[in-house]
Amino acid sequence: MGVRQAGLLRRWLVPLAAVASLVAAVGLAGGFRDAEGYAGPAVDPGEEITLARWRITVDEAELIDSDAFGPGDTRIRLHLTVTLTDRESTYALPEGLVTLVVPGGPEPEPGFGSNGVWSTQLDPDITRTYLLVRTWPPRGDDDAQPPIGTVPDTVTVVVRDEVDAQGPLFREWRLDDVAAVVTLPLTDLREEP
Amino acid sequence: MSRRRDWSALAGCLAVVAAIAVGVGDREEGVPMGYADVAVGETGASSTFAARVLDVQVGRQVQKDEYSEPLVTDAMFVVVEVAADAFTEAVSFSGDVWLVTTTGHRYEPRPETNLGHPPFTPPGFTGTGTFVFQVPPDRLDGARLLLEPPTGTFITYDVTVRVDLDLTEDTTPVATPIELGEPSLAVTP
Repeated sequence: MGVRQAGLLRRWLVPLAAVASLVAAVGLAGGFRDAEGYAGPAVDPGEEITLARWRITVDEAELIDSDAFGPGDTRIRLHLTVTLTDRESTYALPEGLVTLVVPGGPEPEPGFGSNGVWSTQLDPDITRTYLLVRTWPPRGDDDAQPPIGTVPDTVTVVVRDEVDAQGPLFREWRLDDVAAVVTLPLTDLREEP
Repeated sequence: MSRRRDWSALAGCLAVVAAIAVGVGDREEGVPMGYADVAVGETGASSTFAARVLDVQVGRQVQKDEYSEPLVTDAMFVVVEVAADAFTEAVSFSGDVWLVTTTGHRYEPRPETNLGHPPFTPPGFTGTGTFVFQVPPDRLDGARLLLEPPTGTFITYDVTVRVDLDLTEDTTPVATPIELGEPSLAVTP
C-alpha cells in the first residue's frame, strides 16, 4: 500500500467507524424493526383486561356529533371502565395505552379524555368510567371535517401493556406489546347523520 | 503528552458522570427527608412554611360552589382544610400535597376542586384552603396528610409536615354534600 492510499484510509477510517457505530446503535435500539401493527389477543367488549398497573374494560363505542356543550365535530366516543392498580395517583390514562382504530377508515385525530364533571386524574384502586373522545374523520388541511361516506359497523380498540423502566434519574412506565384487541360495534348517535 | 492529558480529561468526565448517576440512584428513598409529625390542630414546620390542619371531614358528596351539582363518589372524599404560614419563600403546594394510607398508596388532591386550594402565599402571609382526596373507604384508617417542601435543584435536607388525620374505618361520613369554603390569604399574625 502506498503512502497516498494509507493516508486516504486513515482519513476515512474514523468517519466510517462513526457511521457504523451509529447504525449499530440504531439497530440495537430497534430502529430497523418492522413498524408495529396491532395484532394481539382478541378480547370481547365488557371483558376486563388486566395490565401491569391497570384494569381496563372496553364497554361501548359511539359516533356522536354533539355532547353536553352542544353540537360539534363528528367524534367517536369510547366508554371504558378503568382502575389504576399502581400506588400513586396519575394525571390521566397514558397516551398510546388505548388506541382507537377504524378498520378501512382514516386514523382518528389524537385527542383527550373527556369525563364531564370529572378530570382525567386517576387514583389508586378507584374504579371509574373514563371516556376517550376522538375526532373522526380527521380534519383536512383546511381544518374542515370531511363528510363520512359509510359509517363503519365496528371499530377496534388496541390496548397495550406497559413495562416499569427504572432509569438512573426517573422511574417511568413505557408502552409494551399489545395486550388486547377489542372489536366492538359502533353505535351511531348522531343527531344529524 | 497531550494525548495522555485528553484521555485523563475524558476519564475525569466519565468519573463525574458515574458519581452523579450513583448519587441520584434510588432518589426517592435516598433524599434526606425528615418528618414533622403532628395531629389535627397542631402546627408542623419545614424550612419554608409552617402548616396545620384546621378541619377534616369525610363524605360521599362535595359541593364545589352554588352553581354546580355536587360531585358524588362511590368511594369516599376526604376533605382537609389547611392553613400555611410562608416564612422566607412563597408557598404554592403545587404537586406537593398527598394523602398517604397505611398501605403505602399516595393520593393527590382531586383537580375538580382546585379552586379551593390554598392560594399562592408570599412570605409573611398565611394561606388557607381545602384539599379533597378520593380514597377507598377501607383505606381511611390511619391516613395521613403530607405537605412536602418544594424540591430544589439540589437535594438538601428538609422536613415534610405529616399530619395524622385521626381517621378510622368507623369515622362517620357526613350525610349531606360537604361545602368547600373559599380560600383566603391574610398577613400572618
